Amino acid sequence: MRTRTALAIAFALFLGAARGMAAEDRTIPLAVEEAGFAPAEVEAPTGARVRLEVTNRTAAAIEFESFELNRERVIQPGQTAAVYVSGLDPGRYEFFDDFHHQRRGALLVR
Amino acid sequence: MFETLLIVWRESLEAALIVGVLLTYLARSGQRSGIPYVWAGSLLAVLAALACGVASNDAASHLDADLQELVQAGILFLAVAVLTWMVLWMHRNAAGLGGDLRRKADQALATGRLVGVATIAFVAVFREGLETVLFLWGVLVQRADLTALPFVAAGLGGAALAIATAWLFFRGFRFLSLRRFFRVTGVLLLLVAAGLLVSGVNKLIGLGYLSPIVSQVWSTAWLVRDDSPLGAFLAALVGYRSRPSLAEVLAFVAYVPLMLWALHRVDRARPPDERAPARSAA
Repeated sequence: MRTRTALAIAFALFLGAARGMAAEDRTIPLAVEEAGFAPAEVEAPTGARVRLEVTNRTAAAIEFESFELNRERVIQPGQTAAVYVSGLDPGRYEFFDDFHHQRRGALLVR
Repeated sequence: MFETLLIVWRESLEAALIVGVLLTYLARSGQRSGIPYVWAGSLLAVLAALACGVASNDAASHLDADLQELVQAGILFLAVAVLTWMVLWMHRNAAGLGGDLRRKADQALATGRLVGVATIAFVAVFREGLETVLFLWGVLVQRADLTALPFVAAGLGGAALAIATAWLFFRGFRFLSLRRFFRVTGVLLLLVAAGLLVSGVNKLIGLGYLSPIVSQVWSTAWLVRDDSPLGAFLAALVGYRSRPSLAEVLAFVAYVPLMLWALHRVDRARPPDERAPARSAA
């Protein structure tokens, strides 16, 4: 019974997806190389729905992480992961590879 | 090297805390028959994480990265459902609140419940274990010589430190009376489940399946940074993040009061003699 209520809430939240789908997607490719993110800085317009396509070009697993964007993804060598962020206010949002902290980059929203 | 230790500490902490709360709860609530199942689930998860981590070099590259993430989100929701069910029956089993008792006499657990606790332990350890294995495997691959060994040792040290952190945390619980212990751990387990629910919602948002509604409701980064030890501890325990989206906040806010109410109902449903032993018919 309670589980069912919880499921209903989860489903209602899921429907919120429809709202997000309406916005225009902006795809930004982002590679992770041994030396760091390439490019190290990417730009997106305020309020856009951004699809970061993060490709791991290194020989080891990486973790794309950003406290400011509230995202984390482990990406294995050779793989590409889509990381969506949307409705961002203008500003600089830093991200890094949590498995190799010297690799850092930022998303500039303006 | 110190960074390696910190990374693994953070990755392992969530698993250590969840396994810790399960063990503590089962031991004190007189449901010790569940303890071997927690260990079995954890051990199986370590082996599975090692197997998947090593196999990932070729096998996982066939499975799409976003599909893997979606599967992980699904596993999280399953874990929330099992954990919710478990908290409720554990709470029911823990009836008979003798205020001074340190521990209840043991009861047998039904098979389904034993599988339940094993599942929770498995999911908690596997999730974090796989990340740890992938990370350490990467360290090995990048160095591919003996200089990698101190890093792997630092990684194992980080895992040991996570277990020690969880152990210290739950040691503090020994000083609570049984009655208070059940209250505190019942609520804590619900917060753990809420944290897993929020993680699952966060994954769906990151995959673009769910709207964040508002991408950042507030920022508590000035108070507790995500990468501070306290932030890492709270993230592991209750899914703390400094800049949550509205969808995540709503999931938390919908789940926690609902479950507190459910726990409260379990308390009230107890026979009157257990609730108030002093008020006997005599």
